Amino acid sequence: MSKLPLEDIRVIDFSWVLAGPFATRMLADMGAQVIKIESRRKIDGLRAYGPWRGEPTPPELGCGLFDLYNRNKLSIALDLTTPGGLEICKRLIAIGDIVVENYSVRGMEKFGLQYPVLQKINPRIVMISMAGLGQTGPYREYISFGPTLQALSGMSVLVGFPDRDPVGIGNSYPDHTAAVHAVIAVLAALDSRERTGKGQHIDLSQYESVTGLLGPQIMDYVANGRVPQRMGNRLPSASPHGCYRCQGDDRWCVISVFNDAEWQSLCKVMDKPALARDPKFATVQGRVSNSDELDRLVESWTVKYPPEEVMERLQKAGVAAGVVQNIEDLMVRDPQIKARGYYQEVEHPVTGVSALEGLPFQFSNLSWSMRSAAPILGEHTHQVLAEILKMPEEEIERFAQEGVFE
Amino acid sequence: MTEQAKRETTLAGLRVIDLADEKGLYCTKLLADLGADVIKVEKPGGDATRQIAPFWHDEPHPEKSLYFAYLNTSKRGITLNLEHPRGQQIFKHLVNKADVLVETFSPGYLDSLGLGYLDLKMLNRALVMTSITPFGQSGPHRDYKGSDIVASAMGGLMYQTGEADGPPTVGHGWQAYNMASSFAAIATLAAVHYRRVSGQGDHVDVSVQESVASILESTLPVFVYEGRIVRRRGSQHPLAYPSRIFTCKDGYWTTNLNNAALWNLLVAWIVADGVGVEELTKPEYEDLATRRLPENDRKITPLLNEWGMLHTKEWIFHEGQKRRVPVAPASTIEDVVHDHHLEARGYFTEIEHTELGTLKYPGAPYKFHGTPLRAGRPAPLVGQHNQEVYNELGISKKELDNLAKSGVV
Repeated sequence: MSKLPLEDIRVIDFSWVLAGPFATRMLADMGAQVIKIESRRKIDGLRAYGPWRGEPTPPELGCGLFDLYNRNKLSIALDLTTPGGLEICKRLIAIGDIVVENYSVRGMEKFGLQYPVLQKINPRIVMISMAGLGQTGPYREYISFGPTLQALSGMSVLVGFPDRDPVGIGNSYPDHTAAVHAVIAVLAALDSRERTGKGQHIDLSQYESVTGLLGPQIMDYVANGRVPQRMGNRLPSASPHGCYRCQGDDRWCVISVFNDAEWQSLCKVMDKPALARDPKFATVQGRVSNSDELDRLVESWTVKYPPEEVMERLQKAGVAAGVVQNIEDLMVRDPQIKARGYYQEVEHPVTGVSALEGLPFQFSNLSWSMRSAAPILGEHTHQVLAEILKMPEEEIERFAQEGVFE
Repeated sequence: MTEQAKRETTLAGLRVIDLADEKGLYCTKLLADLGADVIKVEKPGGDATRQIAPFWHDEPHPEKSLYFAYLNTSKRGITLNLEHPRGQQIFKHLVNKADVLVETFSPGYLDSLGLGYLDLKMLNRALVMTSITPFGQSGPHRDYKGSDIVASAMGGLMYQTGEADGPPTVGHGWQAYNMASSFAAIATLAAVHYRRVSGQGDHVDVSVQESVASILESTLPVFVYEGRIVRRRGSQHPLAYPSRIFTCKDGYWTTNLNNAALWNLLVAWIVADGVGVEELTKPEYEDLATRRLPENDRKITPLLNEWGMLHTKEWIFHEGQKRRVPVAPASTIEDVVHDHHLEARGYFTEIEHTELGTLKYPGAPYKFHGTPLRAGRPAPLVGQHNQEVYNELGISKKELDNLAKSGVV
């Protein structure tokens, strides 16, 4: 099997729910040894979110969402409110490379695990904190979730149609943007550590991880005083550019035409020579200012065909078009996704075999992998203590009697 | 010099050649702002991405695209004709001295110029080459044309974005490209990390479609575990209620309530204004599953909208947070730019640009306490660093003039 790029990296993972666990899962997929610290007294809430196959199972076993974001990790049950738990945790930090946490601000302080303490234990440790609004600033203690942060960031009001209320992107977008930026940040800090020998603390704001993705919109306001508005599926610089109803129940195809050559190709595929000659639609500006009419014309054609056929015919003619795929299309039908092996199966000892999404890139020599299913709570407690910390059995037993592994 | 300025940047010493278009500009911006030496290679006259709106004072001009200015901060810029034999020679020279190459051409294009991964690897076996394409370098759709909306559709996010009774809807601001760029930066840095051990580079093949499919959240598990397809549901989050975007006096606000305690806090606050006193205090609404039933949602949502209309989003935000209710304004871009919290965190940076003057730019979403971010370097003008970079390659001023005359640079 090819090498995993992060095989030499150990992550001590205090994160929970989505943003943090997704970040550490990416690190784990690329070979890092991720040790997830949990306790039965403070369980990762994602374990109880579902979905399940049939009746909900106890949170310790996990669930659909937990399984997706925690594969390839080791789980140690450690009660950090006990002195023994804290001591073991510090021993792990001493041999770790990265610490990830996404508690609300000062969450780590409650355990006495703020960065200066970690730095004393291990000056090479890279720690990232991923609070919703960051570690500083007047609103740092405000409570946030992915959907409220999407609204705060300016994204939500920009998604939807101008004549209707905003809808926002249909996921907890800030959790995902925070996760990817967190991985970028820790990998960059590891690169710096190679040169300086020193770790550092990184303060990531989930809020800012979205606003940075609206940079051109922010600059339009700063430079021109324009406040960007919802545009539905349109662009000011391309038309037709939209989502068109096709044959079938809730079947749609998107089409995006950026230049005159593509417009001519579209007309040809639709078999509308008169449209191709219509001066009203001859230029980008003309098409953009007549988008309402154009969209109706395009849809009167697409609605006669299944979206796959619309896509294939347009793609053959060099026009960017794509089926609005749902998860069944992606997992069962999409030949591209299948050919690239994006979904792979992992066997969970209790919940059985599940297909999970991979990472959206492939290496030529290296690889990422799905080596193991998401852990049952505390599944690897003994392994982490005995094999990673090389703790003698008597000591493990002593800690167990103190109730540390709860 | 301050202590901070003396310290080197996070990615100091990493040299990146940037051949990216809109699919990958954010990737190389991330690396450049972290301190890598990113050399943007544009075709003579400048890349097409300089024509992307918005423009400064709405004047279309290759040096006035605000889109380009934002996505190319901290980079150096040169021009080079990759289709000219001498240009290819110079490019190989550049790659020889680089650690990373990021490119977004159609699969096979660079190979046709003799500049594909296998060619470049012969020159520099430690090179990490990252290719970002709509569907990836392999598979039956590898030559399909892409765009941000096509990737958003094919990757599954559009199907679940939009009103339940409306069409699938795309995110704002080319988010498929932003996600692909972010994943590309991850894979690139992971390959760079491994290179330290092995001395061996890699070809990283990023799919924009798969980048979108990687952020669908509960959609995959709901399908695999329950056999159900997650559909559009407006702004309502599937795991909390209420979590919709509601109206208020001056716009919109939102909340996200996943337990009874939070619901009770919100209700106590709202009924104090005399809104929904009878309806909202029904004890059965403490149960999340009950209150989100369509028939109950139809009663609750109008009340929250009605109550919102009594207040401003700013008031709701701070009053709600005082009560520990997770509320937020649905901010406009104007609100974001004037946000006190971002201001206090020093989020925005002022950058001076020859053509655009000094403007406030969004900063990075992370603060490194040990290594400074590189701030304050504007996007390059067309060919701005030709002399500097070509001089580093040992090309004299005279030779450079000749290259310019023959259309190579």
